Amino acid sequence: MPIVTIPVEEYLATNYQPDCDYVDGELVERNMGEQSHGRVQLRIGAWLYARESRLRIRGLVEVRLQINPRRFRIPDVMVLPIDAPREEIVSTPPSLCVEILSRSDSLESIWDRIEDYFAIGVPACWIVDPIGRRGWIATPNHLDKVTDGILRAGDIEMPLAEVLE
Amino acid sequence: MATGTPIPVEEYLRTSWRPDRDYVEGELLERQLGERVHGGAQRELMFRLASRYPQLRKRLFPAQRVQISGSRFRVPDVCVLAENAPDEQIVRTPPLLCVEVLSKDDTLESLWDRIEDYFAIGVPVCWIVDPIGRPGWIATPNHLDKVTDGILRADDIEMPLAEVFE
Repeated sequence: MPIVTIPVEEYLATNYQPDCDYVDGELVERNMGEQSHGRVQLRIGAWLYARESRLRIRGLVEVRLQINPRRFRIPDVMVLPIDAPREEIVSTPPSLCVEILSRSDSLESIWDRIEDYFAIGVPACWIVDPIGRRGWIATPNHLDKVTDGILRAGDIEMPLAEVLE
Repeated sequence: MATGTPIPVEEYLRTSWRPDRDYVEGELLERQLGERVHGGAQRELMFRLASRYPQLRKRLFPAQRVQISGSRFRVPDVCVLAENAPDEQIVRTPPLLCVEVLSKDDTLESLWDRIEDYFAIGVPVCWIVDPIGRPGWIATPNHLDKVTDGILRADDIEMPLAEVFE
């Protein structure tokens, strides 16, 4: 995608399909609308939704998350505590952000994104690879491949096999 | 990135590509696109490692084919062979260190597949360097750690990241 620079006011007033990240004036494409990405995103959202009461969480899919006044990211899925404020654009740090890999996601682009999440206090991120059928748990400066089939974040334990097709 | 029709391993072994390619289960995979920043980081890594550790000079190889299995060959950007490694035209003895310099088309998936191949044959550690953003990572089996103190480490080998990007 060519670099498109716009003022933040225009980003906030515009509806992109799929939505784009906004990083220091630039629109940054997130995914290419691939079926494998969308299905896993749906399944993770559904898995979390079914457990919202028990885990006292609220799951959100593709909602803008404000990192700073000139930086907005859109995690594929994020999880907030059940009592978090109901913000249209989330600025309260989620307890978990989930990124589902698209074919073109590079290490640098994923790392840049998760570093933004950690910068506002997100404690953990999951990265899920729908093609390679694997997952990673990211914490600040570290990425650990899931070797026992379970993605963990606080009280949330999600078996990878239940969300991969 | 796969580059078309599968080919037999015999054809891969007798053919020279420029730049060389990985071979994974019949498929040729492009490694990098000949970008100048990639080549510059690869060159600096070689020179700086050789000057800091003269004993490594004859054990440092750029773009050397490493055999993972009968149908899998990888070409790390730089590898450091063990002191007692046999003289193999295609390396089959696990290197002490493999280094990958990121190209703009490298995906997380393809990079992880590659380093998992290195670990599968017993390579203990890999370095990943990004010549554009200039961070570096140290990979060990199932883990990736961003370098936060500016030093790439592999056992007794230490390489300041800043030197790689000079």
